[in-house]
Amino acid sequence: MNFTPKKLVPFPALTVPTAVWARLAVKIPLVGQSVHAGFPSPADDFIEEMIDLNQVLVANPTATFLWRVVGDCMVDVKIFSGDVVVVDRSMSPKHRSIVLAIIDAEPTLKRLNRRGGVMVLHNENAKLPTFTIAEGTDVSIWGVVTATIRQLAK
Amino acid sequence: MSDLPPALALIDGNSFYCSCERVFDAKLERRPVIVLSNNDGCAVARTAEAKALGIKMGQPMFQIRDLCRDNNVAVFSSNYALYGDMSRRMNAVYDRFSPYVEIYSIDESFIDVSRLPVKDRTAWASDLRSTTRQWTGIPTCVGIGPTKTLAKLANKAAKKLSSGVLDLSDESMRAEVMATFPIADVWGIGPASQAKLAHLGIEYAGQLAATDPKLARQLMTVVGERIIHELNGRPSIALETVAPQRKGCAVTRSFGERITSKGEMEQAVAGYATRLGEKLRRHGLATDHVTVFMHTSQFNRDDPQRSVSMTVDIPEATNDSLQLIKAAKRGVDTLWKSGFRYSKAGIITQDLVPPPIPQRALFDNLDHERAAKVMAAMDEANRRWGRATVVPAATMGGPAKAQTFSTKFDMRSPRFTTRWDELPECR
Repeated sequence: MNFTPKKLVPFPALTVPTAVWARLAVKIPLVGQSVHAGFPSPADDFIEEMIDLNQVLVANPTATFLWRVVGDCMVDVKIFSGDVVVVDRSMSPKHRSIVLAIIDAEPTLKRLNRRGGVMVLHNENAKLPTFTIAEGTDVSIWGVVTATIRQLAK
Repeated sequence: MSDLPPALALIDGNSFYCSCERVFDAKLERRPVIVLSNNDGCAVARTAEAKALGIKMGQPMFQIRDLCRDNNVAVFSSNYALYGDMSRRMNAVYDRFSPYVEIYSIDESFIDVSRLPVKDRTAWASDLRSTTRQWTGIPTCVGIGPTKTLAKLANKAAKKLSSGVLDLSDESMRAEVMATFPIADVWGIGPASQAKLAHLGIEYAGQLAATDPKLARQLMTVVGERIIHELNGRPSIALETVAPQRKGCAVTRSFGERITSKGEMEQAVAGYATRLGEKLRRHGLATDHVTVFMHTSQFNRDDPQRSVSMTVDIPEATNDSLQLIKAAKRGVDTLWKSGFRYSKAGIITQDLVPPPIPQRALFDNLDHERAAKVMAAMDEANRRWGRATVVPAATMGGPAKAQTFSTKFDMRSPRFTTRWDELPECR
């Protein structure tokens, strides 16, 4: 069977589109020898790529989704209404994970605790009554919360 | 190329568009869900529950409005931003399982399994399926066979299995499944071929496979002959690793209201040329021609009918929206004839090529670079602030009119994964 592996497709993978050329110029720090500069910059050898927040906040982009928080059940762990949470679906929930749980079809943030072999969900808000789940309620874990993003000024 | 017997897997999303909607709203798990085509015309995706209600693929919305209301069917407009992103994620999962992936459509990919060091293909496919489900939330099915047609057939048969996986590499097992597999569900057999074959008493894939290829050729051209070979495990359709949509590119819409003036038509087509430019730039491709077409609605039989198209050549391959608009307008100029109520127009290109390499030398062709910069800035603005934030002036009519040309999205869900201001919400 005539078959070429994906990575070896010479076209268009190796073509740098003009739009990208122009865009790269905006994103990469512009230090270096230009025609009119007499001396090379002493910093040239130390140029690195810019810090990318995705590298820190998103371990697995394919399985990561962002959700907006509109409740106060996690305020004791500093997750407030209006925050954005980073949710990774590929991570296995563990004891003490903060998870996005689907409880009776409603998406909600909860702390996951293991109590004697049983997984228990609860709120992180001392002002709320203890969270309990009625028997027969549908519960599933949508993903594990790995970070919160809160913008303080724009 | 390889001594191993060929084996292809076809993985596809179950009721893909509907499943995308369900990922972000668990309440939909309990309801029948359908997604409508552009302009909310007809059902293009249905969950099993919606199919059970008798909603057909492609059925016009006006026929099922009452049925949907009475049965609490969740009806959505197409949310291509969401479906495209989910499709991208699914293929990113497949890429981890194999370097040999061919994206066939937004929700279907072929994977060459024969060259993977895999002992138990069914177990491999189950793993692929559960990882896709876990990471993206989309349920899938996997069919495996020695040819594309058989992989597709196995996939279709797998939909009925709770495991969602069917490997038809084994010949006797294949014969058993094909004996009761209706030809209507065989890839490439349309209603016309089906009728011809039914006339000969051929109803099942097994019978079709046993048909003389020469007879099939007489009945259904060379395509029919290929189908017979494929059903017998002889590959006749090659696996392509370059996405098929990149070979050509089309932007076309039905108008919300009929178009009767040349100005409006120019404006609409300029809008499509802008989108085409965006698409080409995103894939790093260019084109040296555009085919412009326009036609009236065949549903309005009393109206005078017209359907025309022409191809306009561009001197040098480009992906500059302004040049594409110029070419598209030339097309409209030639094709336009008043007195008709046009329902649809679009532009298409084939044979996409890499763009001319920008000369970055001292003596530069300034025009190229300037155009590229303008286009890059426009794409960036549209990406950041939403489509059509910045548009070429040619696409602008009065503000009230502009909306008429874009797809209607009355019942579209939020673009959960591509917009900061449309993220899903949790408590």
